Amino acid sequence: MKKRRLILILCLILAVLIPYKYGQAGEDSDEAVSTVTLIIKPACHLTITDENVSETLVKDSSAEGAFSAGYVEFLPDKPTLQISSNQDWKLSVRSSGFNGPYSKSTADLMLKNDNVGHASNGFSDYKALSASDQEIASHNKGVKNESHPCQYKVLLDYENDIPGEYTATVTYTLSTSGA
Amino acid sequence: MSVHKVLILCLGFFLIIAPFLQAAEDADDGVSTVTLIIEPSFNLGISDQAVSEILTNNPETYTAFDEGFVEFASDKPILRISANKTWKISAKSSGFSGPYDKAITDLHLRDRATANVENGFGDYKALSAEDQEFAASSSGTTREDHPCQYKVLLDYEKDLPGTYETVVTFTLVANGG
Repeated sequence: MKKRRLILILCLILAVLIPYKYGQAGEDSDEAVSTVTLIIKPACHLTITDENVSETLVKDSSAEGAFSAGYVEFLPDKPTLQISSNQDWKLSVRSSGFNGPYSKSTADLMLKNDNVGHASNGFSDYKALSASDQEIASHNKGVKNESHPCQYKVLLDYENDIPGEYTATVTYTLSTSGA
Repeated sequence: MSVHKVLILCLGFFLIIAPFLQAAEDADDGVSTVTLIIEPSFNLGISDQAVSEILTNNPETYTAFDEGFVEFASDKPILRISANKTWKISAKSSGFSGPYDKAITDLHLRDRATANVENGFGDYKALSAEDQEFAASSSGTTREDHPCQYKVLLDYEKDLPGTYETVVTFTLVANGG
């Protein structure tokens, strides 16, 4: 009986000591921690290529057809806007209005956005610009280098559009909800 | 004189001079044993452990997003290793907390130390939730510096504005301890 008790006590001691010994071996390490914090603010970026466009209507050539049609189209994909944003965004546009021989209507300048997918507010087809910002594209997520090829069209009228040079400045604004 | 008397005299004489004979050999040895037990000893120090970057709406940020990553300041953190035996150091990431479940592998680490860097971590390599060894040596070292640098991958389409935070745990292990 005493022997059994002794064996039990020995086993108990071993049971305590062995894990302790091996536990020490397993803890043969040292640790250090480092925290990495990245704060990302709303970021959006708009680039524009072929931003300056011009057309010359020549008598007995392009002018006649254009006046007959009531408009002249400028070259497609000019300008092309490229959008990057890390959250929902919208792109808007406004016109300064024409300066020229007479006060040609701001609405005579029309724009269409050939982007497939995110053109909005009817601008996938020609729509008149105004002096106030109008949304021409938007998306509820971030995008990277999304292309928006645009095209201008100017309405023509024999009775109003006397010869001369007509220039308008169009301003594009990309905005995010937090920017 | 009888032989007996001579013997007794000799014995007496010997007993008298015996202590002097011992005195002549009056030397003693003392021994001392010096035992030094050196357990595996190692230490991992870290400086500049908390690093942060802020991306604001500016050209640097556009460049970072266009390139697809932002690099944090170099040599942050610096790990300092001391070990008296073969060692290895590993790193793991807790994963990002933030506005969305940003991939844990978007955090990259490189070790700019000139020696003992392993497993491709001389250049940026993605971290994971598992320990990955990035430096090791088969011998001891004293205050060996490992200047590290982080890089985080960026994606306009995923990386919403917000604060992204992760904890990187470096573990120095002395083998066979």
